[in-house]
Amino acid sequence: MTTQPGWNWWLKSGLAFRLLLATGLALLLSAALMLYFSVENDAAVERNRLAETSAEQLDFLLPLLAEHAVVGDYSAIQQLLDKQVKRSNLRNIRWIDSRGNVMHAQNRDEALLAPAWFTARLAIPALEVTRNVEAGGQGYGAVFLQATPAPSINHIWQDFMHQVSYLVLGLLAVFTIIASLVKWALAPLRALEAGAEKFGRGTIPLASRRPASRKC
Amino acid sequence: MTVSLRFIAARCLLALLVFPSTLSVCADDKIWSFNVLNQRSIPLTLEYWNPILKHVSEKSGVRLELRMAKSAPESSAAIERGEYDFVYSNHIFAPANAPVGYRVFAQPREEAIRAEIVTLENSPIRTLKDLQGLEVGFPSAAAFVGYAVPMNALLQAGVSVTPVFAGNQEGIMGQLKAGRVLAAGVNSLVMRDYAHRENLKYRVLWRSEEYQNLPLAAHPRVPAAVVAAVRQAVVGMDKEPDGKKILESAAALIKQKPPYGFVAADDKEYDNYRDYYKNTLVKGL
Repeated sequence: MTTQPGWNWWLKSGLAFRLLLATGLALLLSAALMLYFSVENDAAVERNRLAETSAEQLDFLLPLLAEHAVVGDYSAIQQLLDKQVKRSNLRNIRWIDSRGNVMHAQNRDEALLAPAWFTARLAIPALEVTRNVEAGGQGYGAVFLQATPAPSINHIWQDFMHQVSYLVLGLLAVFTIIASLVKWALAPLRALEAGAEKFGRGTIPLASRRPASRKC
Repeated sequence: MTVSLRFIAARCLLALLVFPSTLSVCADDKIWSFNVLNQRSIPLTLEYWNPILKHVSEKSGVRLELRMAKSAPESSAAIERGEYDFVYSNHIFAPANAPVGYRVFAQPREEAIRAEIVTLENSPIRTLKDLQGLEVGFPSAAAFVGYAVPMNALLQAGVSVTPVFAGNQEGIMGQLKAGRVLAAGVNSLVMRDYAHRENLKYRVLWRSEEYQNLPLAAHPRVPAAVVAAVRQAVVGMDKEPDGKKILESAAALIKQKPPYGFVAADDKEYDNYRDYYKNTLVKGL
């Protein structure tokens, strides 16, 4: 019967090694799964939060824009847009009045800390929403809001890195404990193995092992 | 058939020659500004007046656009500059604004208004004399029944108060409700509707004679035909099913009591405003 070289290597490896390798792989797999689902959940939460926050910001803005528009206070509208766009999830806000004039505020782009593969995996898109500004059935233009996912992605990436650090430390600690336990647990077996070898080689005479008889 | 067409064309040409403004009413894209005095918050005013103006614009063929100032004094100042084509305001009678010459053409069907000095029902204030030396709230220094008339009454009674202003009628009513001021000078109808909406109980310390409700008026530069078209649409609004519905919805917003709608009016009905300004003790109006 022929056996695979890998299987031979596995059989020839020590029990401790095989035990530790199997345990380590199991721990890594469970940690990786935990990380994966945690990141997926965070991404879903952030996608919803981005949409909800943008909707709330529009609900706040619309009546104020109508109020300033009817008064003709475009300066107040600019101040309002400038203040609102500073919120971390916004990239820019535009208000176009009923005659096509545009007032605009832009936020600084937050740099992405996460690598491209991580960002692509999260799939949190930039959000663009347009709503008409109305009051009492009268239109006062439209507001366009663009939300950026960069803060959300950075937040998830930082959490991810922290979790990876904790898991690595945890795995190392667990691994060290398991290795110590295995070594301690296998010590009697090793002693037995060593003794049996010596016995087989005849280095331990039978007589020396017999306890002295007691003379009556 | 040809004779009929010629007949009709001749009559139309004659109408246009005699009434050239008819053409402008019918086919003009001009947007006419319509200012509403700041009696309530701007969002509430937009919700109330925009549907009404939309209806009037559709019925009259005159495009009206609501314009507001940030506060009643700013509205009054803009009236003095003649900025608005149409107004719903009694600030047109103030001495500084009267020379502009806004002409009254309609008013709300509601009862006449009075100036009132009011306090909360459980307030310790019982008479005007109790207000001596205290802070009394008013909508603004430009308000007629909200400030000019009640302040005149206080001066005539020899009561000296410190005025506190709020920008509009409901603004000072909010201060009264919050206890910021112990008494306030108000428009009787606005106060009644506000109290009903906010479930506020109040007492009237003093009440003035009746004054006509805020008028709808037009700047002299607005052609007579345009004013006539707007008046017709405004006065007929409550007689049309959709107009009546709009008026009822608007009234529900501010808990306004019936009757709703508007009636035709003219400048002579507002003579007691002018009489007041001739005889008032209040300075700086």
